Amino acid sequence: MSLPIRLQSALLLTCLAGLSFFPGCVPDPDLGRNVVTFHLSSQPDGLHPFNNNSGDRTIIFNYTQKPLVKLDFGSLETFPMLVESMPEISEDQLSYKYRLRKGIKWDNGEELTAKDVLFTSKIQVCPLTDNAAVRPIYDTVIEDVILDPNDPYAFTMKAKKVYATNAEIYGEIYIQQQSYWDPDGVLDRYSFADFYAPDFKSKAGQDLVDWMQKFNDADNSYKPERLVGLGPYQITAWETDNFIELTRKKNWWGDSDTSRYNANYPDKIVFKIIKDAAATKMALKNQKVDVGVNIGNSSLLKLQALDYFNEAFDSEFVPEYAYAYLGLNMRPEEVGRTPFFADKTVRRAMAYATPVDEIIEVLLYGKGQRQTSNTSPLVPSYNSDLRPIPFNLDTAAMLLTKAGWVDTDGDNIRDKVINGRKVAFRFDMNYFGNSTLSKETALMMKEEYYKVGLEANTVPLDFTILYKKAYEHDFDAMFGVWGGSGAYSDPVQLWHTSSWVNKGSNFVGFGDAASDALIDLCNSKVDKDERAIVEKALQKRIYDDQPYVFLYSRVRPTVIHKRFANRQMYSEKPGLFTNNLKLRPEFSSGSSTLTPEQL
Amino acid sequence: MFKYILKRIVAFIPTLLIISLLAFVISINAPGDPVERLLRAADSEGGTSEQSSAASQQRQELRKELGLDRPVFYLTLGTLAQPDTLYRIPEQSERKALTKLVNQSGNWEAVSRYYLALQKAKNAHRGIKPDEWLLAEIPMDTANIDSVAMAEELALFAEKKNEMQEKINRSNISYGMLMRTDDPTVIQTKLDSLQSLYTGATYLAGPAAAYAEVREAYAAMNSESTRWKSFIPTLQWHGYFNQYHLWLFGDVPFFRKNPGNRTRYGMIRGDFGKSFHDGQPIRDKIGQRVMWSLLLAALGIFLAYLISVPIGILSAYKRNGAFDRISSIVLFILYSLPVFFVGTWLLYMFANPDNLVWFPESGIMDPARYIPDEMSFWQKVKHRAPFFVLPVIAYTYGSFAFLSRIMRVGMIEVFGQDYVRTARAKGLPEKSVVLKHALRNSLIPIITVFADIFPVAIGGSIIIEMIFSYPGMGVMIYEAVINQDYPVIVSIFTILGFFTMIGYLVSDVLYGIADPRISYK
Repeated sequence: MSLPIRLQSALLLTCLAGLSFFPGCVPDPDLGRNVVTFHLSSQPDGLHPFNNNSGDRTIIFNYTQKPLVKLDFGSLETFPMLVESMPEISEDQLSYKYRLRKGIKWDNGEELTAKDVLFTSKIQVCPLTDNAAVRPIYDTVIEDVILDPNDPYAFTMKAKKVYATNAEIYGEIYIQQQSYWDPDGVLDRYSFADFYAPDFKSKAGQDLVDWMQKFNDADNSYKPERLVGLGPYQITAWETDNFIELTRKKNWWGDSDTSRYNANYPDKIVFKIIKDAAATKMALKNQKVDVGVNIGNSSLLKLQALDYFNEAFDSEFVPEYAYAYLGLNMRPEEVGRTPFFADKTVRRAMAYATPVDEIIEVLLYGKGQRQTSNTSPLVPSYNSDLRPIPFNLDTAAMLLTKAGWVDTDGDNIRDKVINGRKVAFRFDMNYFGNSTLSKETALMMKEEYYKVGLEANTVPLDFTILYKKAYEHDFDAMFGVWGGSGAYSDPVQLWHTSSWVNKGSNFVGFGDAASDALIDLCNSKVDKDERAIVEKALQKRIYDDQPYVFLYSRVRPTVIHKRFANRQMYSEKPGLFTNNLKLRPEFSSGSSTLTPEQL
Repeated sequence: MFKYILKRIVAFIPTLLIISLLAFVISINAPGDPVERLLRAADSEGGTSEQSSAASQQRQELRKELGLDRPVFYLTLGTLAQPDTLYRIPEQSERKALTKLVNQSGNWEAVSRYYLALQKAKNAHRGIKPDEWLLAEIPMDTANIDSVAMAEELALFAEKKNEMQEKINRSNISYGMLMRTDDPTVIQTKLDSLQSLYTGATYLAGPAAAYAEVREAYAAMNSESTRWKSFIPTLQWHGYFNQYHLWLFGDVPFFRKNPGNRTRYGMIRGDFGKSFHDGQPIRDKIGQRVMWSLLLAALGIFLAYLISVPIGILSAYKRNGAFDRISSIVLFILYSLPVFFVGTWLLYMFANPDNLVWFPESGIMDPARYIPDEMSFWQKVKHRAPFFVLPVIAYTYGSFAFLSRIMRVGMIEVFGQDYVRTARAKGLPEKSVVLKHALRNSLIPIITVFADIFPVAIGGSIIIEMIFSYPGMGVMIYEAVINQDYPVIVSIFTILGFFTMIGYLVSDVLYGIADPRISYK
């Protein structure tokens, strides 16, 4: 049959034509553009100023929104952003007086006043706002906000109680423009006392209900034209699961300010969403991405082995605050489990039997740091007297014997009589089933524990199930990771006994009245130096008790293209500020809207 | 034919309802609780939400907001012992324990008294301030603060306070456990341990009295058991106030004015509700992604059929020849390669400066060059086309073997028919025999396969979408499952079910077109 041969020939010619066409499909990256492409591994769950919570949202808000005060990533001190200075605090530490800087303007030219702050604060605590997950952070602090009748820039925040971070409460509240969102002044008709009334929802007026429905609308999370703020950049495009584009505003109120948080050198910042690790590597190799903070340790190490990558990029492993741990259930009898780790001596033995240094060296390629207690060594309040517990199987064995765990039946597994019954030291060690690192860490630890007569049954669990069991306290030992920040972190959630009682994040049941008192004292200290003393005492207490085997703090592989100068990397998320990146003159194509002096 | 199509469409409705209900039931019974997940997601580190006295209220608020404070369906199959209000218990673990206790005891009133007694006992610990109690009990020689006696008193104070707080904590946690368990052994153990906690602890007089009520209620629950009631099934009618009705019909009235703050129109009016995870309307979420999934599927299907059908025909025509054998081996090798491997390999081969950079590595456009306002339609097509090449190849390669084999088998069967022999004997050109007479009659199996394409096209391919950062439905479905985003899961199940039925209807119509012997009259 002749047709197939003709058909084959036609197909072959088509393929050859296509092959000659394909190499032209991918143009070379334009390195002269004053646009920073920042890699994100996932899309934010929305950019509503109040109703969404993802970490990616915070990254983008660094450029589009402004809070009254902000944590400085370098010094870890909170500094005034929109206010003239940190608040004047009353003697009883319940009143915080602020004064806004003059000359801060919204996009329509109106000036920022204290009324905008009042409006923003009300939304944050109003029960009708769709922010139930985070509202308690604010409604437990803000009692009222009172405007100064004689000064449109001044206001006082009344706090409900003395609390360590009252002065920083406005650090993550992004101020919104009342005349834009609420031109009819609906929220002016309601006071904070109204919002805090137990029956508020049933008594809320229809005007507020209708207004809130519009305010909570999902379009205010996704439509670029609605995502307005005081920052130097405006969101101009959002392609779902592809990219989010920010464009520098013209005539922005802070144009003359070149400080770290107000500089706006790039014409645009594009947040490119690439979910796959291999695709991210290719994007970096092809120089389609300028900044990356979401690639893995091994990926960056492999990239650093390439000359052309090092010629194009600067890269570093920046220490993070987040740390990994093995939680040991200190109060398992309450859930009917065997009390393997109720004894402090046994927990200490576990710490001696865990090869943390080897884990860091082998599994993290040396990119990690020992964690000794609940606080990162990067923060000023870290207790540097605490030393990492060395890996020592002899000491571990001695401690276990001292705690009464002895191999009485010659099967190499220690046992003990508990409540009249001989119990072998066989315990479950839950880990994240879909994490290779978690699995390999568990296996390394299992091997060492066996050498001292402990049998760990490694149990892979889905993230949801692992944490469900953690909250129910239904585990013997479990892997976990806590995030962190340079800002003060309230220890109640992780270490107060009430957090254990209420099925909170104190999974292991750490604490007693004394540690609770330390925590309460910590939270009552507004002065950070005084608070640091108490924090160190709490760290010591946690270190002594070893509720966790503290493993390591992580590093963030960070990559920045060399075409940008002024690169500064930080431990605080996201690790750097792209608004500071200046395109080097030798790369500039002249298309930037900045002047040569600015470049 | 038209009547047949109409009958089939009418039959869709009950099928869809059953599919959506099944999806609803499965997603509701999945482990975990979306409310807890949403609350935990906000507590990355150091948040105080759990310590807020309104934490429980917060859960109830969220539950109400998400519509989870309603029963799942119009009716529940229960027993005579069970009340119709168990769904109001906000904590999932407590609700499960109570259900089991009711089944064991058969006496809801007694179980209810026991549960309320537990709540009261748990709350009885609030307001106990060890400091105040101890200051009243332990005299302190404050006149002599630096004295040794004072130091000893302070140490005693701290020790006593510790002891008190420990008892209060253990007491609280025991009540929490009691509220979540139905195991009689555990209950008895807990009650006994509480007894020992309260013995001699005068500062716990209030909780001790509440404990006595718990003990009494528990004893009554066992002695007043009417277990027989647990064996009599009943149907509990909840009316229209249920999650399924809300999802299907919404709460905005159909013909009356909307009384105020109701916002749900129901699936029947095209409103699939909002995502639990990000609050976005599900219709918008699907709308942003479905066309990309459809486009990928359409290109993939076109390519698959374009390549597989001729290969199948040629393989059948030259059966057992070199082309047949070689193509079979090659196609089955391709079929055996997993998608994640091929997708990643394609990236490393064709989007890698170490090899070839022929195609982009991710996405569907280059933000640096894509300016929609300034581009014509064809410019947009030209810009986006390279982004589809690698995903389409990854999407399609696995189906070559399958489709070509089906085509081959169909053709071989038809080639053996008498009418084909007759056509050749009549002297018709071979091209006409194969493509005109044989091909049409061998299309039936191919059309059958075509029916499955519709749901697959909508459902997307999560692996391909992840590897190439393609904004399709697959990743959205995966993320909905991970985040226990029930409304999204149920909506997508229903849509997939709908398109499966559409697919089968289309294939039935195509059968009729391909083979005139098939009639629906």
